[in-house]
Parts: sequence; C-alpha cells; structure tokens
Amino acid sequence: MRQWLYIVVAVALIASASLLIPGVNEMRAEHGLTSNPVLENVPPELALATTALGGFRGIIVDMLWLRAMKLQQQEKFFELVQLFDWIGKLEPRSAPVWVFSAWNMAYNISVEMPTASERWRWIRLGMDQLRNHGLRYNKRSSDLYREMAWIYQNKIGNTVDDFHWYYKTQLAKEMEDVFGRGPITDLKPFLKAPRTLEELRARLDPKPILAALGAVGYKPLKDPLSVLTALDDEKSDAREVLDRPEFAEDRETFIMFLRNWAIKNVLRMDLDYMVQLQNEIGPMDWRLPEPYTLYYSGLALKYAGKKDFTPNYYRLRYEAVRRLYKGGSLFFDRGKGGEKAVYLTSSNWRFFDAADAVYRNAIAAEADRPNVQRSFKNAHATFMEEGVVLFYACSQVKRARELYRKLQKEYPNERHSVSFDRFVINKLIPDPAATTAAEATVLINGVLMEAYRWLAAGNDERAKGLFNLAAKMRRYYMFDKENQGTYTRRVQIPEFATLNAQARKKALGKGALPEVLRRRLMERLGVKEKPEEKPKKAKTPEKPQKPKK
Amino acid sequence: MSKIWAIARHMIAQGIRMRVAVVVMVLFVLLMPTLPFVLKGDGTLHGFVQVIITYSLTLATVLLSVLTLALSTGSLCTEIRDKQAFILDSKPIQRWQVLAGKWLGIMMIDASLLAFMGLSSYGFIRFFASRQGDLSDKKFKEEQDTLHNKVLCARRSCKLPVPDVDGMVRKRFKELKEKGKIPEGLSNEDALRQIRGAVLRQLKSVPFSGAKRWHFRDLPAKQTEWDRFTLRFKHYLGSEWAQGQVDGLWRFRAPGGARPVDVATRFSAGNFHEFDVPLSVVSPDGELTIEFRNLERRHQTVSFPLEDGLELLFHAGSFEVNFAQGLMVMLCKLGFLAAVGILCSTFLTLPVAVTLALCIYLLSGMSGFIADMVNSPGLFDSIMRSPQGEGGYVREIVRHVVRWYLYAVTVVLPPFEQFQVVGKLNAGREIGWKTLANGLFVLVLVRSGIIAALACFLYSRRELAGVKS
Repeated sequence: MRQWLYIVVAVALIASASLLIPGVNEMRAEHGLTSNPVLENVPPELALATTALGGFRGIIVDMLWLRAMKLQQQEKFFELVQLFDWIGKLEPRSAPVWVFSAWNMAYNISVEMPTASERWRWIRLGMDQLRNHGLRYNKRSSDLYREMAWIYQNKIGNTVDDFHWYYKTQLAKEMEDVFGRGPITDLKPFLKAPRTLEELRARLDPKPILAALGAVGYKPLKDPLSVLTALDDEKSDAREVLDRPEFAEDRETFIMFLRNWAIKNVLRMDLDYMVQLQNEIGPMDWRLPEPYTLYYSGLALKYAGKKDFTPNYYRLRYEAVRRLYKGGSLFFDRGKGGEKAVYLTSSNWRFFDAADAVYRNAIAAEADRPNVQRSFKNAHATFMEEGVVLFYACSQVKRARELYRKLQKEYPNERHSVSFDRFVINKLIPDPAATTAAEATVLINGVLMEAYRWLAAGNDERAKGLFNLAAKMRRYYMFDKENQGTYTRRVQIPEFATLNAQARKKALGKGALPEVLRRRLMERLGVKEKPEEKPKKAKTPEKPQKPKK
Repeated sequence: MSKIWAIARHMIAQGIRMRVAVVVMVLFVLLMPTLPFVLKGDGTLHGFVQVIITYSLTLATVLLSVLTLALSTGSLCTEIRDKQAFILDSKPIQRWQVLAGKWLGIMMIDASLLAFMGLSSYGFIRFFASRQGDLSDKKFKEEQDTLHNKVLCARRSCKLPVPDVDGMVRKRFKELKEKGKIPEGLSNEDALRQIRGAVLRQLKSVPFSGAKRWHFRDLPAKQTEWDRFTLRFKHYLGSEWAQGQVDGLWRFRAPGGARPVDVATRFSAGNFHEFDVPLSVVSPDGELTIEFRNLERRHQTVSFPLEDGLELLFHAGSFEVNFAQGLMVMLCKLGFLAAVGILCSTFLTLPVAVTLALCIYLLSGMSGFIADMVNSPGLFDSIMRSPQGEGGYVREIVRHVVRWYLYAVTVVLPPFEQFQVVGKLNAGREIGWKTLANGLFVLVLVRSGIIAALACFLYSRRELAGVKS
C-alpha cells in the first residue's frame, strides 16, 4: 500500500514539474541557453562528447579548465593544446570557449616562449584552433571571425610583440607556399583553375599524378602544402615527379588545383570572397596580414547580430586599410641558404580611395551612435592628415593639395588653417622652436635614408618625393629659426647637398641597409664595391738583444 | 605468515575470478594504442612524447585505482554478504591476518598489472621518441637534443633556499627603531612596507652594470656521468609585464678553482630560459659561484624572482630508473587506496564502502589544493565571503570552524601532491630513491598502517552473524 502511495506521489510531482517546462524553456531562450541546431558532419568523438556524456559534460569541462589553468600557471604548456581541444569539443557551439582558448594560445602562452619560432608556433596553434575547429562548428559566429581578424591585425600586423617582424616574415613565407612565389595581388588565375576534384577531373585525369606522388610518400589531397613547399627544391621527390615528361601538359593545372585545394582546406578561406574583397579594396598583397584582417572582419560584420558591438569591427577594417595604404607594397626576399629574410613595406597610395571609402562607410553606419561616430570622424581626420604627407612624399603634390583642401573643408580647425607646405612640415617637425639643430639634422637624415631605401627597393616615385621633402624640411627649419631671431651659427645645419652626400655614403656603407638592398642601391647608383684591402703584414719586431754583460 | 600468504593467494584467485583484473587489462590494451591517434601535442616531438607519458600513466593510474577499489571493497563485503566469511571465521586464523592477506593479494595483483602497463607505456614512449631522421638536419638534431636532455632523463634540481624576507624585514625594522632612524610620523605599517620593498629590491634586483652572485654548495657534480649541467632561470625587466631582450654576462667559477667560464646571453624578459654549462666549473667538493652582470642596453634594472629565479639541473640517472621509481611510488598510492577500501569494507555495505573509499582517495588527491586554500587566508576568505559582504559573528564562527575542519582534513589525508610522479616524469625531473622511501614510509607504513590498525580493530569487534531486523 505504501509503495503505491510513493508511486502516486512521484507521478504527481513529475506531472507538476512538467507544467513548469514551457516557462523554463522560455527563460532558456531569453537567456540564450537553448541548444543550437544539430551539428552536421561532426567527427564521432564530438558526437559522443556532446550526446553521450549528458549532464557530466559540464563537470568534465570544469575539471579540464582547472587542469589547463593550473598547467599554464606552472608553465607546462605541452598538454594545453590537448586540453583546449577537448574543452572546445565538449562545448563546440560556445564561441567564447574557442575565442578564449585561441586568444590564450596566441597571446598569453606565446609570450611565455623564449624564441621567435616557438612563439610563432603558439600563434599558429591559436589560429588553427579557430580556423579548423571553432569556425567549423560556428560558421556564423561573428566573435570568432573578429578574433581571427584581431590576431592578424594586432599580433602579426602590429608591433606589440618583440618578434613581430618574424611573424610577418613567416606569414609571407607560408602564403608564398600556398599561392606561389612573388606578390600575391592577382587572384584571377586561381578563379580560372579547378577548385574541386570534379573540376580537376573535367580537365585531366588526376589518378596518375596522385599515384606517382603517393608512391614517393606524398599525400597531396591530405597535405597539399607538403607538395607545394617541395616545388622549390629541385632535389625533392615531388618536383621530380611533377617534372616528368608525361605530366608536362597537366603540371600547371594540377599545381594550381593544389593551391586552390590548400586555400580551401588548409587556410579554410573562400576564394570568391577573397576576390570580392580584392575588387572592393584593390590589388592587396596576400602576403601581408592586412588582407586577412579585412577578410575576417568583413565576415564578422556580415554575421554580426544586433547584440554585437560592431564599432570594433569597423575599427579593425579601417585600421587595416589605413595600414595598407601606408605599407601595402611589400618587398620580400625569403633569404636563401641561411640568409636573413628581407621584409620591407612601403606605402601604396593606390589604396587611399578604398581606405577613405571604408572610413566613410563606418561613419555612415554608426550615425545612430554620435559618440562612436565622433571617434570615427577623428580617426578619419588623422587618416586624411597622414594622407597629405604621404602623397607629398610620393611626389603626388597635386593630389596632396586636393586632399588638404578637402581636409580643411570637412574638418576645419586651427591645425588645418595654415598653408599647405607649412602643414606638411608641421607634421614632420611639430615644434621647430624646441627642436635643436642636431635633432633637425637627425630628422632630415632619417628622411634621406628612407629615400635611399626606396630607391634601392625600386620605388623611384617614393624616393623622389622623400628627397624633396628632406630639402623642404631643411629650408623651413632654417626659415623658422631666422624668424624667431635665434639664427646664429650655433643652429646652422649643413647644406642640403652635404646632408645628402652623408646619407648616400651611409646608405652605401655596410650595415645601414640589408645587404640585398645595399647591393641593389650600388647597382642603381652605378657604384662599384671597393675591394677590401688586405691587412698588411705587420713587421715582426726584432727580438731585443740581451745586453752584453 | 603462511596464513596471510594463503589469504593473499586466495585474493589473487578471487581477483581473477571476479574478472575485474582481466577487464582492466583488456581496457588498457585496447585504449593504450589509441592514445597516439587521439592525443595532440604542442607541435614538437618532445611535447608529443610528454603528452604520451602523461596520458599513458594517467590511464594506468585510473584503471588500477578502479581495480583496487573494486577488489578492496568488494572482496570482504561480498564475503560477509554471502556468508563465506562465517566459514573463514571458524578457521584458526586471526581476523587481522585475513585483512593483511587481502591487502597483500591486492598489492600483488596491482604490482603485476602495473609492471605490465608500465612496460607497455615505456615501449610506446621509446617508440615515439625514436623517430628516424637526418642527424645533419639542424632542426631534427635540436628536437632530439631537447627530447633526451629535457624529457627522457632524470634531472636533479638544485635551488638555493628562499630567503626569509619577513625575518629580514623585522630585523631591519628593529635595528632602525633602536637607532631612532624611523622618521617621526611614519606609522609602523608604512615603515615595514618601505623596508620590505628595499629588502626585496636588494634580494632580487641587479642594477645596470651591477652584478648579483649566488653561491651553491653540495652540488651533485661527482654523481653524474654527463659533462655538463643546465642553468634554468627567469628574469624580468622593470615590471613583470615588460617585454624586451636582456643582455647579460654569466660567470661560473668554483671558489679558488680553475679559470671561470663566461657566457654572454641575450634572452627575453619574463620567460624561463635554459643553457648548458660545463661541469668542470663545479669544484670537486660541489661548490660553485654564479655571477650575473647586467648589461642591459637601455640601462634598465633586471630582477630575478626569489623562488624561481635560478635553478641548476644535473643529470642524476637514467630515464629508465626514474620511470621505475615513478611506478613504485604509484604502487605506494595504490597501497593506501587498498587499505582505505579494506577499512571501509570492514563496517560498511558495498555501495557505501565504495563511495566512502573513493571520496577519501579523491580528497587525498586534492589535499595540496585544500592545504593551499587553508594556508592562504586571502583565498580562503574570498571563497567564504558572502555576496552580501561581511556577516556577523555567526559567520566568523562558521569561517573558523570550516578552516579548522579543512586543516584537520589536510593533516589526516596523505599529501598526495608530494607524490605526483607523472608531472616529474614528463618534465624529465628526478623522482629519486628519497621520494620513493618517503612514499613507502608515509603512504604505506604510516598512513596505511594506521588505517590497517583501525580496520583490524573494527573488524575484530564486528559481530558477523548478528541478527538483523
């Protein structure tokens, strides 16, 4: 009898609890706790983790977090990739989990590494975490795209890390491995090439090439980069296979297919969107970090919901295009046989209009948030000011004048009320009265060295602009000093010709420029290397004779 | 002894009959080969080997713990439940001998399975470590060097004791106060804070072009066959968060010994760095003076943290011996678990005994965390603080009671943190005979002994054939 009573009570309790379910479900939906749509094509371990573990999933995740944090505090990093992988797979639809683990690897752990290569490995692990897993299960998460954009812009593109040059160089090398050597500014050939196996089969029979590569240990479809990186090595088996006469006709098509395959399956990027971005912004060089910032921030904006704080996405975008026009031309030499790679960026004013459009779009998009819009406008004014100086330095004086007039009209203030030449000089020597002759000489010398650097890199236009700018800086500085009545022999700086000769001598000397550029500069200026003088043999002093007793 | 041995043999037979041992072995054989395919390292060979060491030994520990728990609680409980214990009780054998025999039998099963799992794990580790490659390839050679010098080895750590900062501060404060040099109006608290800052600066900082010396004694220089040792250090530039490269000149010299060895370094601030030094710089009686001269290019002060600032690592034996020592320490922990399980089974039914034994074992694993919590008042108070802010005296009483309770827990439970062998094995750190002897004494003789005595007391007083309602 008592058992029956228990059963009745249990049924009554369950029934009354079930009445609460609709309310609970509403609250779950309200607080964003509802489960996401069913994941498609998930690996078995993920399916098991998300369904079979049930309520224990949370406990296991907590334990893994505790272990990961403890190991990180103890600076034992080797296991963290595994732990974060498990944490992510136990909560695959939680974007903050992927964002945190990627950020943790790319920032916190990487800076604990003593060498550049080790740091780069952790940055890559962080990006792979987002690219290969996070974005796979959260294709529409703006947070994840924003985090990718941020890593490209801040960690690689910015100068916040001591080893940022190494990261930039590695990115350029890796992208050359995927896209091919040299500037990656034209993506049309990739669009024409086959992108899927079906498209490849329509052009050629891939079986013989795949079999031949497989016979020498390559798995092109699983690891296309191993084949693409081996192409440069004449002794590599992959190169030997692809150079065989029977594959001569299909070689290029197959290599282009492999590149497309790597873009899709290794970089996990959408070629069509890359081309769309290229058409929108201009011929970006995909060896630089900025195109990737634009790519991912563009997708972040596309998938951003009402709750997302989009101004940060716009900031990422206009900062990326600003950097593109300031340093969008890349001179890159990978460095052979242990030589150091040379990575040199120069301004590319061709991106100016695109950058300007991005700023204006951002300002228009945030019209309903006056504070945000004001900060965007300030950034736009600074951008235009930099543009004036840059056009001037690039011998685009007419364009610089037009831009300055526009700046005066759109952002009138005291700074913009002076004459055009004075504005340019003010940007470079903001306070002539407080600048000593020695400091001014250093500034002018710096501009001249830049001019020789770009002359060496083949950018005559930029070099010419910089020479003119250096001359003008000197003239204005002396003029200011005379007008202030402080002109004496004490503040006299050398004539421009003397300054130029000094800078030329320094640029041609060893150590001022990378060796590759120094040799190029010598070629361009028609200067021959002086043979190094052999050190004369020092005469051995005669042994002093012992004084005779 | 023969009676205990007879019970032990019976326990082994029972273990095989229960099939738990077989299931554990089959699970290990099935899971172990999958580890390399499901685990991810940090992208380096040594990182991957470290992960394999960690997870293969963790797998062995988990499976053997389950087995030990099942055998230790299951055996006696089922014998009492099925009334087999009545027959045994009527034989000329003491009850304590029954318990001792059971413990011995469980340990023999554990030892043989642990040996099998250890050998399998070792085979896997060696297999993945022996990746073939071109030794003329610089990267491959570096990887192999790192693997054999940092992971597959047994390095003994030599650190200087952390100075007693509080004592130094108090002494300095007393001196200044006696001399009347503490300014009027400066509170004792502020004076102590300022003195503490000055003492820490003196102990940690190296000003530009200045030098800091460390003097080591009793280094194990003679005990190693290697011709070098490793200096591991960490230094900061200005604040702990400042980045940058630090230039320095290290000088290693045996007091009154041969020529010193100088090493110029340029390492990033805020990270651990290691470099090798010839062993010849250590004097025959194990003395060494290390000097660091700060040559930082921007003339900034460099500081070394007191605890992790400097450490010397000497190769003190082979990985194989270290690995075997690690397995034996693991066996000591299983011995403790077996004793706990048997204790619980003497007075509880099977489900309750399993739960209690498991809780005690898990709490023992967390003893380090609990001890940290109790010993750091800030952490404890932040955990115990109510969201509404400070409570009244009732809350204070509760706080004290909980603290003393946790303190008692840390005293009663064995300090498993001291016997974490997996972390040492994957970092190539020496476990040593001392740790093993300590494990045998603390875990087996003392803790398990006390538990065994308690179990014998309870079991000898238990009425097996008592009438139950």
